[in-house]
Amino acid sequence: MNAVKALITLDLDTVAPRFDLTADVWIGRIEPDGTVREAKTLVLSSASADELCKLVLTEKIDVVVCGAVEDKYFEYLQWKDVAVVDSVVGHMDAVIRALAQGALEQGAVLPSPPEAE
Amino acid sequence: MTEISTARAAPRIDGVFDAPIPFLPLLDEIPLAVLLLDRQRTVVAMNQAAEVLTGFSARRAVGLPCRHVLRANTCVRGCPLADLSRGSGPLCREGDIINADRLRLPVRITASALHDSRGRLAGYMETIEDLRLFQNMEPKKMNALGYAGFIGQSPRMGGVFKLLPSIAQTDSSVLVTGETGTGKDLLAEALHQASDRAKGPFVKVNCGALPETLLESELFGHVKGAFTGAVESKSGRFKLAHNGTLFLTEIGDLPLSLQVKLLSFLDDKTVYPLGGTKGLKVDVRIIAATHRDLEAMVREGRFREDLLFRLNVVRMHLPPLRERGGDAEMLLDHFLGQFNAAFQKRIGGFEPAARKLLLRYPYPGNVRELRNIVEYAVNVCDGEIISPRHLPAYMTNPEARRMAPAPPLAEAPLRAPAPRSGASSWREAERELIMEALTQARGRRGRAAEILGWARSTLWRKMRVHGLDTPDEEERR
Repeated sequence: MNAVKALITLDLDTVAPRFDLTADVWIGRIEPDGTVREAKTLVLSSASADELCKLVLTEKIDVVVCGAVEDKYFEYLQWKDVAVVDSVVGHMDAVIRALAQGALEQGAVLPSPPEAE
Repeated sequence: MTEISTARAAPRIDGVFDAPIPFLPLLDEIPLAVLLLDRQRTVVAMNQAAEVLTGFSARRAVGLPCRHVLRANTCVRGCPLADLSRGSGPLCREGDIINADRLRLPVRITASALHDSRGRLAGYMETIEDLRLFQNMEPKKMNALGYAGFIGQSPRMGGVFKLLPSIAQTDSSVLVTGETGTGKDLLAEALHQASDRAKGPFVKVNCGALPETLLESELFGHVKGAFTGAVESKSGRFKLAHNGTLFLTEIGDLPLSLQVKLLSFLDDKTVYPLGGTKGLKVDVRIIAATHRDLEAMVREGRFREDLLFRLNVVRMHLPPLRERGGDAEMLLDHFLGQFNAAFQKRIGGFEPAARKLLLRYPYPGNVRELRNIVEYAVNVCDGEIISPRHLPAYMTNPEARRMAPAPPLAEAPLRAPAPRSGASSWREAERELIMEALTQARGRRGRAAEILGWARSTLWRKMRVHGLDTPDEEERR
């Protein structure tokens, strides 16, 4: 597996339940061995699915990990060659691990540290 | 999908009846979506109506935080349960959810705190009402131009409107026929909403969208171990539509083996899940729809005659747009207003030349095609009036128009299934055009869009409509 540039929509340290209502995102390049490079957390001025889509394209993201996403945004990102793994529940660290292993699936419920939820 | 296992004794209710009764089946009898949460707002139970609304099975939802199951905007913008835990009474909020099918649905959520016998907080109960029903009622009440979401005052549509309320009340199976784009789905939903089953679920299944084995499991459900990968039992759409309406669209595409099962259900109202021996009685009204000529399919041995007789208790035919007289003009104005509002434009109307072109066009794709043309024109128009140059090229260019097939004869309300060699509808012709262009462009969409003379986004939208994008996306990945 090659390194992937991922964007995870966040609610504190866990995947946010709604893509369109997320103002916090984590962006980073994940190597197959789990090493994370160029990681940053962005706080957007307001939550907006359109703005998030723009950010995904300008940041040249390979994969978006999110909770609920409306079909039109899902299809749009797919069309732009961005993989979307939606309906994910879990802590950001678990998502990054699963992405590094190439094991993250749509609808995955990942173990969270007790304090995360 | 990952699921959380819940190995616990089946809960029951004591002290109400002579003997204890199981709790979850009781919950399933409630027609509103209900979620029960513990003090940490984790789902502990949900009923069948909630499964239908959210698209999550109870098995998957139990153990997850409520906000990841309900996925409501109210979960993010101030969870009402936070106020409840501070001692308020039941709270009601309107908002929207995004379900597992990625659809945004308007809902009303009522949340209340549950206390144990000593008054301590034990958890929460949320009931969720689907507001689509009420939203759809608004245009019905306010719209003097049509009925039940349809626009039109032509005698042909008048006949449909006249029949609709009485047929809705009969509870008989209904077969809706009509060309593509005439509004068969809208009619099915209108029948459901005008019926006594309106409070129950309206479950739609496209019989042509799934392979035979998946479709059988989707319709009738399966028991654990019925086939490789059936790790859990699953309720079928028949069961989910209990006390409501099951809408089987593209019934002409239902495989023969499943036609037998459907016929059996129509006989005894009992569904037999795949791999199971025990039947389950369900109270479901069937509405089926097709653009195919089922009588011809019966003659060709591709559709069971006895099933046709069963479904054909009441038949409603939707006329093609070319037989609806002045309705096209009303629809043009209606969709112009709708897209003006949607795209925040101020287009006042159509130039006489554009209107003339639009009214002369035969609309093989019927109302859907007219709607798409108006959407295109509103998108393209940067002024205050739509002129012919804002219309799709195939309407103004005689060469492009020649490529479109002639509309079927007005006397033939239904058409035979298309032979593979030629297109029988605009939809098929368009699909073939796209395929040809993609082949010519060796799969490069930008080039294919150029060949077709469309914007890339138009090609993408149309590929989606024709189901041509997914495999390509997967291949590129």
